[in-house]
Amino acid sequence: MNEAAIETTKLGKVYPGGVRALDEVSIRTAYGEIYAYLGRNGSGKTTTICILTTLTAATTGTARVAGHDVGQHPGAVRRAIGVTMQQAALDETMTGRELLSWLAALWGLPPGVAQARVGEVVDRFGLGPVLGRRIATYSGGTRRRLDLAAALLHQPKVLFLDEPTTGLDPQSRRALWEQVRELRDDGSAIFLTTQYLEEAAQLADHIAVLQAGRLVAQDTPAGLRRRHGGLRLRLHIDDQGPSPTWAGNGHAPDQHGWITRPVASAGQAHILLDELVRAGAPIAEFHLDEPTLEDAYLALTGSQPLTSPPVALAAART
Amino acid sequence: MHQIASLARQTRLVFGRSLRAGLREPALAFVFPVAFPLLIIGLFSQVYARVADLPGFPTGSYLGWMTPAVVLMAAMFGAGHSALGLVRDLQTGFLDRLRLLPVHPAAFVLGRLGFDVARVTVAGLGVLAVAVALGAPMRGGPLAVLTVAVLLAGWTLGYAGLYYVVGLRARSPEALTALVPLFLPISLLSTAYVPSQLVPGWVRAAAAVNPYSHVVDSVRAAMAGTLDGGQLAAGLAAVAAVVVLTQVAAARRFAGLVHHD
Repeated sequence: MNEAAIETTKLGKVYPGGVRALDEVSIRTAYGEIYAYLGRNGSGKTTTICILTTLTAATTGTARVAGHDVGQHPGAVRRAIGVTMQQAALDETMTGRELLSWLAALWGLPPGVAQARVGEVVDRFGLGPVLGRRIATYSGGTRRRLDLAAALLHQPKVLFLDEPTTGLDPQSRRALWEQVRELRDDGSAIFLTTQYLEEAAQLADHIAVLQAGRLVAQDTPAGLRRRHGGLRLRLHIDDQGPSPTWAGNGHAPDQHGWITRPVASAGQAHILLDELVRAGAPIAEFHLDEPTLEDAYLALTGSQPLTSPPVALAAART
Repeated sequence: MHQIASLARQTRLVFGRSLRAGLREPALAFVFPVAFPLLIIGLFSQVYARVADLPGFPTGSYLGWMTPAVVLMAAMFGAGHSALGLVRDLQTGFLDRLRLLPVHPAAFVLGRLGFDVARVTVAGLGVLAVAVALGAPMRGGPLAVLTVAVLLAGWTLGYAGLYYVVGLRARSPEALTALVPLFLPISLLSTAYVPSQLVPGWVRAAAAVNPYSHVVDSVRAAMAGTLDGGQLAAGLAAVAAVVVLTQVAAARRFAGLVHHD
């Protein structure tokens, strides 16, 4: 088994005042993989990141990042990780170049190395044209890229990205996805939180679903879909024809005349269609739908769908 | 030894950031601490000029009497600047990014305080130079100027601590703005503008326990060339007391903030 990038055992966090933000969360992530941590606001995503990045202490359980215990060797963990927070944390009065050079100096890099590293991250994120401008003038997408560039100055192997695309327009969102994939392909371990199912579907090699501080699932996107989504038969029957016998059984047609019904397998769908044909129902159209991640998410959490940015949703279907 | 060297290097980098930010917003960093004291010199030295004629007034020049107060006023107007920057870092989350660097947390405060002290000391000595040019008597030599600079730096450090305590507690720039008028009661309930023998008994009592009085009196004696060991000790002790009181509280608050909970 490969060395884990992040490994937690029954991680828990109770804030002063008794609020239980995290409850027995055990996860394991590998290098060269994007691990998406999915949940709505307040589900414990940021708390997990704060613990794994040594900013907050866990109440119970253990966590190792890049082979170091976060409680016992926070310094070693900090040197191994790169972090971007929910809001791009930058000093707006500085220019991009000033910020990167200043952070590189604080990392203790010798001037020559610091300059080379700044050059590398600037190239990687295409920041050259805006480098001499004050950060206050940057767009949201450019800020995120600078934020990510700043997190990579010391060449960390484990990256934590807390909702990296929240608030971005679709183009910037997709550009950032591409850059995150490149980092993954370079062998980094990426731990990414998101409240967008589509983002997880697009990027993740593994997905963990968090609800009210508890992990309700941890699997590959395909695995989640298979285990928790299930196939669906959708069909449209001409108005004139007789109703299928099982239509009233909780599967009444919707306002456009479509009937949707979960099926266990393609074989079962076949049998149902067969019955309908023999009953003389004029089937105008039918589809056998693969389970979506959203179906899986709904099945897991029994709750409302997460926020879906419309364009990203369209992208996820392509 | 290595740790001290790296702390010094990190402090210098933080100082550099403050300096750059100050130069970007010169109104707040450099103009504000000087402008208000100069305005007060202009107004008070004219409006209250005849106060020096009152029987029992210790000197012949009201401008000379009030000069220490306006020099130290630069400290009270300039000391809040770096605390404001820290509160902004706290609000934007930039401080969390800084916490993840292999940098001693103290460097983030020491570099900022260093900038406050350097900036305000220059500003205060500038105010002193203007007052002297306008006719305030200055009988002390270079040693007197050095003494004024030390007291000014100390008072800035102490007053900055107050801003840090309030800023880190409230976590809002607005709370810091609310501190600005505090200079008024501190100044009026001291020997800054009116000598003790000319104020009501309760004000005299308040002025006697106000550390600011001792700092003002020391600066005044240094300017007059009459500073003795006792007065100097009283001034330095007052400054030291305020620095310890506010900076220890500020350091504890900052440590609580950066130490993971």
